Amino acid sequence: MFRLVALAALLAVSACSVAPFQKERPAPAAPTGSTGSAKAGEGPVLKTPTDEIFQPDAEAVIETPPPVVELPRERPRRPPAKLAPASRALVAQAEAQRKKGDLPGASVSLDRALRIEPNNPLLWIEMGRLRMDQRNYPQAENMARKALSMSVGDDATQSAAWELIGQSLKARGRNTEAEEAFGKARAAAPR
Amino acid sequence: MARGKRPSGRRRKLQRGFAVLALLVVAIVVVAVLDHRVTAQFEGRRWTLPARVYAQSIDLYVGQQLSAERLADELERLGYLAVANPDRPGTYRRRGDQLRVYVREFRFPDERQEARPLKLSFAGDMVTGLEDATGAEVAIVRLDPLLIGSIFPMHGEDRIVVSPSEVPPLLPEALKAVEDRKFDSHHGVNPLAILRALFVNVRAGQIEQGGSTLTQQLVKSYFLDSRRTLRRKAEEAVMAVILEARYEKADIMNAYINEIYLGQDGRRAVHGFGLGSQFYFGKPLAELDLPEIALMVAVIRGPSYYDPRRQPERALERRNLVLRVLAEQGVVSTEDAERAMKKPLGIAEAGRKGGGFYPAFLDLVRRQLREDYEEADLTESGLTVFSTLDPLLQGAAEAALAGEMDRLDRSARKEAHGLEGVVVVTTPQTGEVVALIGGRRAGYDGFNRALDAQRPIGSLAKPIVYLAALETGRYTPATLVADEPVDLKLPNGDRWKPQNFDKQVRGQVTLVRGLTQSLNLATVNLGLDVGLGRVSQAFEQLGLPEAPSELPSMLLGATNLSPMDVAQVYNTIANGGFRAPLRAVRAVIDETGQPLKAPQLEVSEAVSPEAVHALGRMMVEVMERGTGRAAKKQLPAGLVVAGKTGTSNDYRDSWFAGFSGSHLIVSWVGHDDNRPTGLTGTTGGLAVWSRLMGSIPTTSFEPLLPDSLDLRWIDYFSGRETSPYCNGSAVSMAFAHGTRLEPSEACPPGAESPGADSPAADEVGAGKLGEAAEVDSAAAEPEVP
Repeated sequence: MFRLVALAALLAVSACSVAPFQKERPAPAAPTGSTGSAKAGEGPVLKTPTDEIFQPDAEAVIETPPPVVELPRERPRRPPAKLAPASRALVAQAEAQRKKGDLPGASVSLDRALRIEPNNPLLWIEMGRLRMDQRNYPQAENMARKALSMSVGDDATQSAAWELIGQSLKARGRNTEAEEAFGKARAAAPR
Repeated sequence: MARGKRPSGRRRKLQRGFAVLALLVVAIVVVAVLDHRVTAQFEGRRWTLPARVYAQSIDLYVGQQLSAERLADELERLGYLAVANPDRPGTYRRRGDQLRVYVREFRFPDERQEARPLKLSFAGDMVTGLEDATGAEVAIVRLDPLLIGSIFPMHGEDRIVVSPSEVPPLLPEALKAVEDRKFDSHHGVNPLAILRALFVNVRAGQIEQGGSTLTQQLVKSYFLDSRRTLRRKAEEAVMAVILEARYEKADIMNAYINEIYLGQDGRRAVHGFGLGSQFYFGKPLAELDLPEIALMVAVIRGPSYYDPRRQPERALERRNLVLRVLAEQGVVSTEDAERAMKKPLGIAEAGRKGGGFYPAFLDLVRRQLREDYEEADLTESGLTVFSTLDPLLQGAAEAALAGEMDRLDRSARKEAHGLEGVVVVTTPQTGEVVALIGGRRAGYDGFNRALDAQRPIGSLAKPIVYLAALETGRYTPATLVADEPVDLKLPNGDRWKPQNFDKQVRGQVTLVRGLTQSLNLATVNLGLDVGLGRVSQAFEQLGLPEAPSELPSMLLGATNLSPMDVAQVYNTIANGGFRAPLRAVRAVIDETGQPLKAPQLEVSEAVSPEAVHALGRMMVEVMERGTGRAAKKQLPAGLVVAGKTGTSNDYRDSWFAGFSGSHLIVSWVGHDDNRPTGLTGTTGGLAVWSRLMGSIPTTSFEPLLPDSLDLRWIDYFSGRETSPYCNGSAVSMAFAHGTRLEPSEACPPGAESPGADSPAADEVGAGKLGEAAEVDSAAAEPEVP
């Protein structure tokens, strides 16, 4: 479930240099006096029974100068995604189950892994490969596209996702598009 | 006279013969009929098993965020027993950061996991070691999941069937000693016992042998009939004899153990010791100890009279009587009985009484299964359903809703008393529903508001309007729109003049500001420019079963949706534009363990990921400085969340929908009869939402920036590109490559003056910092045509 998500997210964040949503203010940027007072006079929602309702709380004032981070000037590159040991074990188990033809079993194992690391693109690629086995080609492609969206800047994973998209398209007889996807897979492949 | 007597005597004899014959025939027919009925019941009973529904199981692995204390709590919830030496399934021992647990055997959808002893070590909130009895490392292992309920048929019988091997040997012995001492030798009825029952006055508080054998009680339970006529008694006796003639004693005992009525849980009748054990003690039958078995045996005589939850003294007294009888009969030693008598009842708290406590969620499970299964499959064929419910999150959601409702009950505002509330929690990436509350009394099996209440969504509609705008490519978060009066003539001739919450107009505002401050006029002007068709279509793409009507009032949320509908729409936003149909079921297996059809994880790209990313950043601003910022006080520092408030006309509905990186929560607060609540989205829905989001372990919302977008600092008010170092109202928003932005004059991009002592003076103006209050769209009162 969510227990390792925090850890996984932490790893993911530390591995990438993309400006996070949370903005941290560098020490020197001093707040101005006016904003400080605006903060003090503002009426919060949950204070006392009398002001809790109808208290127009949501003044969109700039309470504090927004925290500042340098926005990245260049597209960040990220190291290839990795599986946590627990999800690696589950992927291995799913692999064994697929080899035995136990596709529902493999699905259960990957579901478990996704609960541990929902943001790991490798697991979405694994899920897509399982969908290929299940002959659910459109979903195989969709899983790969999801993996693409969560592996920006990670060439190895992008390449694997495009490869899967190519296979899915090919299985549906869309050969031209498939070749295009395989081309993207080759182009993204780290040398 | 005498002459006539002889022939008549002969005739009478003949008549008597006929009568006897007729009686015999009738008796044979009656017996045959009864035989048919009772054997059909006895044989058929094996096949009417309600589907059992389990919560998600807890995986244990090294690196997991879980403290020893939390795991111990989870084990208690699952009915594991804390002991000095955990040497049998269902026991554990915690010593500080070391925990040993003997995990129970369980048949999961993919495999049977054998019972096994494990050793875990922890460091703070993290599992640092997991090994088996031999000291070998274990990568990952599942705990048996919590049984949360069954899909039982309308007549309400529920049971968990146990095989003889799952029955503690003490139980049949105790049943015989207390209910039917001659069970092993009689032929279904015990005439002596019946006679005694007729003549002996059963004094209160004294255990006497009842007149009925276990076999008769079984028959009686099969044909539940409150009429106590002699004829029924006779029929029961005959059927008992038939059963004894046809079946082995062991089969009859096993049938009894699975059949007998043991208690009532709302609409659900608890039958059999398998479910009884879960219902009263929250653990499997095999793990019950002497006092617990004695209590269950005690309850048989009168499950409501001796209800251990409602009549604990009465139940305790009778349990101890049972224990005394067991000692008298030599079933247990006197010492054991006396020790057992000193034990408390040990009844599990309501939260883990073997299910029946998550009616709203179970209703969703049932509805989703109805897509693939017939009702009879669900109520009779013994399916096992593995659901997505996370009991921990469900508990947190119940606590958050109850806490907020209680607070409102005590508030000065009369309108806010006695409110109802709904909470839906999903995991956005996989679309799993992990908690669901359909009403204030979470355990009450009534109107499922989460699924069936259709309420106007108010400003929850706004993000969809802004998404539709961003998707056109004609708008960016910095684009200016007119927050100016709207006066529309509707097709039916009515005039529509919505207003902002504070009745002010602001002129030109940026998109990010329009959404952050929930400005009605800016939103309506934007939506009209984008086109109602596109907005309606965006709703459908995000996951509504059908597109809402293309009316201008739709832009301000006149559309009626259920909380689940809202959750589906917002889940797609939280999931980066990928729609994952919300599901409550992960797997279903049949009685033999074979996997059956179940909804699978699916995703599809529903809307442009770039537009959703840009929208997500705007929705983060809602929480940072807009209508959602009151939540901050309840959230851990640094947790990034995104969301939107919603209030309908006259404050009838108070909504909040928002998400972190790993959870989407939708909350609704309102009155069933649609009275005004006096609450805006900020005070009702948001308060529930932030209580809950602040109380669960979750992660920040930090999606990766798509390759085709850049982050740039713009001024919140003017939309001009600026530098965060000299502009107090700079916000970082996502733009497509090469988007042209006017640079700010006073604080252009690239200006680096950290520590500058004056804020940007041009477009913003410090005067605007104290801008008048704006809450939500509520007061706009779109006159719904």
